[in-house]
Amino acid sequence: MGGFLLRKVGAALIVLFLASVLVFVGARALPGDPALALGAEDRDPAVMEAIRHKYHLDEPMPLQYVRWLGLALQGDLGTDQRELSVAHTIVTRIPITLELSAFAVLIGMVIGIGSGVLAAVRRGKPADYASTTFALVGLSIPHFWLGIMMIIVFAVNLQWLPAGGYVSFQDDPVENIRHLLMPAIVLGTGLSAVLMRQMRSSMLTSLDADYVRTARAKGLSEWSVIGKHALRNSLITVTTVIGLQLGALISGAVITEQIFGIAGFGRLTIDAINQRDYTLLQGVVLVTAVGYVFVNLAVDLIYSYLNPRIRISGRAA
Amino acid sequence: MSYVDTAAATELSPRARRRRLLRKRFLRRPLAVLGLLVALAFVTMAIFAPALAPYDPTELDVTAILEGPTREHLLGTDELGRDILSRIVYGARASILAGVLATLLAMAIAVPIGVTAGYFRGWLDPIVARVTDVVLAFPFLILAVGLAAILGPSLLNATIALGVGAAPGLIRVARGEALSLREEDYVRAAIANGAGDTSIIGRHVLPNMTNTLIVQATVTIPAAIIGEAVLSFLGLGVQPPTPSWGVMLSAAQPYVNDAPRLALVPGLAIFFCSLSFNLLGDGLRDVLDPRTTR
Repeated sequence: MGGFLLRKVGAALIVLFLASVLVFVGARALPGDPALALGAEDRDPAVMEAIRHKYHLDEPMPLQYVRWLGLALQGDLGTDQRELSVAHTIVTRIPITLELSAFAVLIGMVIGIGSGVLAAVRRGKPADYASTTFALVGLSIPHFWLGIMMIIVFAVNLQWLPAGGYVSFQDDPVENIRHLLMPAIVLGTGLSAVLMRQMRSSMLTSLDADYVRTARAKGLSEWSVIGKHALRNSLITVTTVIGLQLGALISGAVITEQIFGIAGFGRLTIDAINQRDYTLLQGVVLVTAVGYVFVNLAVDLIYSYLNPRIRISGRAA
Repeated sequence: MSYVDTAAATELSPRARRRRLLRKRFLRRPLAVLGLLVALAFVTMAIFAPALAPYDPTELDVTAILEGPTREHLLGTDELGRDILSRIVYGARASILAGVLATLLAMAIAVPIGVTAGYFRGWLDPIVARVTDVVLAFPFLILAVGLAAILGPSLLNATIALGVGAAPGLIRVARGEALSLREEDYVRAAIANGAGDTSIIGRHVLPNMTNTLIVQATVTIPAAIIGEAVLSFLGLGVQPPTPSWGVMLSAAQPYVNDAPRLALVPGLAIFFCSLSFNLLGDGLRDVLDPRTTR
């Protein structure tokens, strides 16, 4: 286990290093001169020069990178165009997106696992067709459009839920949930569709397995065969799927927050691109990559704990 | 003469027999056939847009702004009096083009890299694996949004961004396939017979992964179609007034109260287009890749 752990952590660190280079170079490849953006109206060469010097834009790229990485490792991601601390902005925005994502994952898991198990147990019956159709629709529907449609139906016409915005849980728990319900459903739909398919196919495999036949032969109730034996083994794959879907979830959060006017981390990404705010964009994308790598590392470790075969043979093909 | 015919009918080459079997299995899946037909309809719509659209999609008509469906305008008009049906028909061009070209680009990047890494292994393989990990650490949309922002907003750049964004996932698939095909007995036999790497890759590895690649392509196309809509929606893809479903959705947002139709129609177009490719992909997976039959 020790060697495996070391290998995985080492690989994650290499990925993180390369990702940080990519983020740094990528942000510099964006069109537009940051000095021009910072100088606003002022195009005086002396002022430009001063700005470039102040932000170290006149130094060679590798030096800029080392300086940036050194500060980033200390939690300093620089200041954005409005002279606000990037790290601070990100830290204030992340909880909103985390709450939205957690809510979405919860919805995705409940619907996805539930309908997947139902479909496998009732294979070839109407419940199976209903679940499979739902998954297909969930995969094909553009989520941002689903969001707009839900706003039209539930906010504009029925006026059951607010069309957008965010209220923190501390301020008003009920409003918090009312504001997040639609965005979370929109964000969770794709995940639930993917999970449903995965659950269905791995449940079908489990239900065919010898240990399930043995459990039935022992005279265990159907409920206990499905719940205790087949489901438990199928749930292992769910960990991997959620890890792999994390990227989709972050992408989804960007567009969902845009539609519902939620000032979260995803919205920050789009704002940073639109405002050509290099420092902000670098910070946002770096944090995204770090989060992604860490979650996947965690998933790998959990998975190897749940499925010891992986530890020896490396990741399953 | 009749002798030759009978011989041709009964003694089909193994390849032709297999093709016939696959066709038969595909035709037995009504949803897959439906998906194929609808997908073809969208492709036809994109190719023959000028002949099919009743109006010029960018023609303004100030006398008919935000009109409901009428005999002249079957799906009504938008906020500038443009015919929605014509814009949907022309919008198919951006979607199909982006979907197909981005997928081809992703394949063109992924297959050579993945196959080389998986087949030769050695020092190249871990490098490729790490680099794909790095690129995969950036969510697809963030990557595409970033690339579109770097390259500048246009349909071509959005397509490039989507293709590059989809490549890492496909590299993994191609690498995995090459890795496992390399261990097959017939490949070992070919190596023992003194066949060169190029001929083994060309004659054994690539043909045997075609099925997997076709299935991957049909699932990448709908993802790219939705991706194009998202990028255009965010202003990073097709630029107005050129019609695209994403642009139409973005323009419809201020009118969701008064004319929800403006948002409904392009969204349905994206949905049915991506649904058709997904149905086709599912059908092809069942037919071509029986290992994963659900």
